[in-house]
Amino acid sequence: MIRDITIGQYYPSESVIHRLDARIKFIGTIAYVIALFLFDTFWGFLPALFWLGMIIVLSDIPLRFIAKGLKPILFLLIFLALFNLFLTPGEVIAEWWIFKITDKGLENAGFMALRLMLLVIGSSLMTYTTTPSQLTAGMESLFKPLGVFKVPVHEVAMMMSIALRFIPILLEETDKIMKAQQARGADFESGNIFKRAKALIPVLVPLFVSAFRRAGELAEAMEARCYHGGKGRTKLHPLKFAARDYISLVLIVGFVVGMGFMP
Amino acid sequence: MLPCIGQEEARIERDKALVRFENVTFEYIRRDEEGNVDSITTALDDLSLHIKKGEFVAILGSNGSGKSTFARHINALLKPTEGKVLIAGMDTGDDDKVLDIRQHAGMVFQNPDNQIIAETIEEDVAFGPENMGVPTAEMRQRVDDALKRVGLYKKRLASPNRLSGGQKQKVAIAGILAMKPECIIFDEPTAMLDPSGRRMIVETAQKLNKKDGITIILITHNMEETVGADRIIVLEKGQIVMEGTPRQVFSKGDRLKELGMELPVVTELAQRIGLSGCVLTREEFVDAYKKALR
Amino acid sequence: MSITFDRVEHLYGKGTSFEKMALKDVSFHIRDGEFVGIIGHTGSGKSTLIQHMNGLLKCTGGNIYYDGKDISDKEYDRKTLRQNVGIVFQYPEHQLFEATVGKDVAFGPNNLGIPELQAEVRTYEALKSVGIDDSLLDVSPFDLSGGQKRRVAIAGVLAMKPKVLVLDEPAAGLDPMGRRDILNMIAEIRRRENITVILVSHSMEDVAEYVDRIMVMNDGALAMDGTVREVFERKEELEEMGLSVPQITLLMQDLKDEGLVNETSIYTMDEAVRILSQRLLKR
Repeated sequence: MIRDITIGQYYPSESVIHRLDARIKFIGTIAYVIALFLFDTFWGFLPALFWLGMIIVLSDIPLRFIAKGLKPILFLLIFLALFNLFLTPGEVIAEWWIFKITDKGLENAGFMALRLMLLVIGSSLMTYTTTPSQLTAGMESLFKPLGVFKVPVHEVAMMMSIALRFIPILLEETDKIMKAQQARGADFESGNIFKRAKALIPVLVPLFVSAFRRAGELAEAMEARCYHGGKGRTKLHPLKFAARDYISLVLIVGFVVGMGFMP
Repeated sequence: MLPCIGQEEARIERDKALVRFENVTFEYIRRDEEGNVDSITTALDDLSLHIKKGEFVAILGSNGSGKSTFARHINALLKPTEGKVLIAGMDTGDDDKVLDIRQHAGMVFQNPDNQIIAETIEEDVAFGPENMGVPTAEMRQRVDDALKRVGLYKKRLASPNRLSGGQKQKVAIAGILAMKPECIIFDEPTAMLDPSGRRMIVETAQKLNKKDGITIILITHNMEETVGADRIIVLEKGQIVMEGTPRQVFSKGDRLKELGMELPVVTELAQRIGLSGCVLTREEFVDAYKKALR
Repeated sequence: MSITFDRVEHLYGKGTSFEKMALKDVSFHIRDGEFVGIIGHTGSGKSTLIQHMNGLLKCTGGNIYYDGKDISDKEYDRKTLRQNVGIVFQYPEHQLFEATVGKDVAFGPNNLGIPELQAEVRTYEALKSVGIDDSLLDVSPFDLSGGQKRRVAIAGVLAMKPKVLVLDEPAAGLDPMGRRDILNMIAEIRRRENITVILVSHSMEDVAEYVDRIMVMNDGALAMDGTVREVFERKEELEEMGLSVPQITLLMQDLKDEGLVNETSIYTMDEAVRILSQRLLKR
């Protein structure tokens, strides 16, 4: 269930990828995603595939763990592939009843599926190898220039990291409240969609009450520990470029420039 | 405060009353939808007290007696409606001093989950020093030191979500220690813990008081946890109704019960069988019973 | 209603890396009208165990019978099971959601499809038995004090008229007087309604004082099951599980070690007062 979802989950390790600066990983991921969308041939994916393979090997993350991350999008993957397979016009290579498979369709289906897989694997590698706090710190630092336009960068980053911490707690809480209401005879499983939606009120009201209570208590606890916004804050793990980060940056730039020369 | 007082004397004066409440009244004002005053609850009522540096003070009182409101005044989360609260000589009403006061007087809350901010233990402990702007190298040292003192150094990289309730409270304590406070206020820190978690937290609080000389203010419903305190203060309707050493307070069992409290089990038993003196521990009970049998 | 657990097992997250045996081979029989205490440290399986009692969790092995009927049978009516076995979870006040106290308490009876008038009567009765005054019927539950909220939430379960009442730490977080009041109230309800009560507690004192029989959970297994005396006699084993015996018992042991008394199997204040004052009088 909820526990099986590995997207967005951190996989602890001390690998070189894990130790890379979050900003570098963020930039690298963006370059990679753009590359995936720029290319529309199988050959174009070769460098991306190579790039991805290299990172997976360096990151120490077992392939099984990565494959599990694809599970939630399996349905979407199949749907997209079938959609392309049957609905792309072109030279028919196989035909059965009302279904026609064209050469172009086959190509598109494979292409789309591969692109989606590469996309999901690539971006989840970012979260597998970066703790949420590094991730938010990295984004806070990258987007800092936006502060000039009065964008509350620090606040947004803080909100994100708190949200990440409280998601599992609130999920657990939802489960508890549902059980408590079920013990009072509530039924979440039968009836039409309206009935079911109505049945959720006894869950949602306590959940909101609890979320607000938690938010209040958390705010108090943060204030009690001298929190006063981002001004004058230092960090236990300040973001600092090491040699490996500069090397990666050169590699990423190389990759991007290389893409420009691709046919 | 006083003019022409030497630095040393000022320090002594300050230590004598690290926490000083002077005729503090606090009113919660409830308003209806239109913003008209609906009701006023007086949570603290003309309360005055001093707490010395290094003291271990336990605060008792039934739900709604004003204990939590009292605690929140010590680190300036709340400010008095009337009167003054001075922490290490700093007035909590002075906005420029608020951060300084919070660094001096840290606070551990009841719900372990709702006071942990970060995703790893060490980052959570660093939250306070980060806010204070402590330089990174020193911060590393403070965090490691604080984690060692509560015995969680080895787990520093783990997620707090996987810890037991007692361990989570220890993370919260380490988070305060890393701010190098003079005083820690514990607001019912054991209410949501099981017996072994309770023991863990009370022992930690006692150790910090004895070994590091940190002033401890412990709010609790559990009488056993107060036996080792230097002083017990009982609140009722925002006023101090009893005050004294545990022996003095627990010798007035009837008054305590009137206030909705009870006695530690051993003390209660000793009083019910008519042992003389106020017995607080099992050893004292055995001695007193021996004497009575003689 | 009698409850029988026969080799009940519960395996969480089967086939994943989180796989955990939360209940292992748990067997017991609780007779109609018994007052049972369950103790065990956090994570010992207490909470998983009680969720099996009204079918919120289904066992992955073994069988559960009520009055001899297997609850996993297709014919067994789940609704009746939920009605017969009321569970009051920890901090039950966190489940309150309705606009008024009366409506919140009536939530259970309404779910059971009980006619309105009858549901209203049940609401009154339930609130009366937890000591909440009629004048609070139309008040929002969120405006009540902590202790009152707890009582209203318990009334919400009582209004289902359960034959078995399971309470998980009903006194947690209350002040000493609040604790005593809630526990006395539960004992009183049990006496009056003549129902089976199962009390999960962290307090050895409370368990010793109120229940007839104690079940000790440890690491998913039922480690001990017996009378108060039988369980608290095994002090060393309890301590190994991170539990203890009542303070009074520890004190009596100290007194015995000094040769001052002969009895150690004393678990409540009243017993201790009786024994110790008798001994003083003899002198």
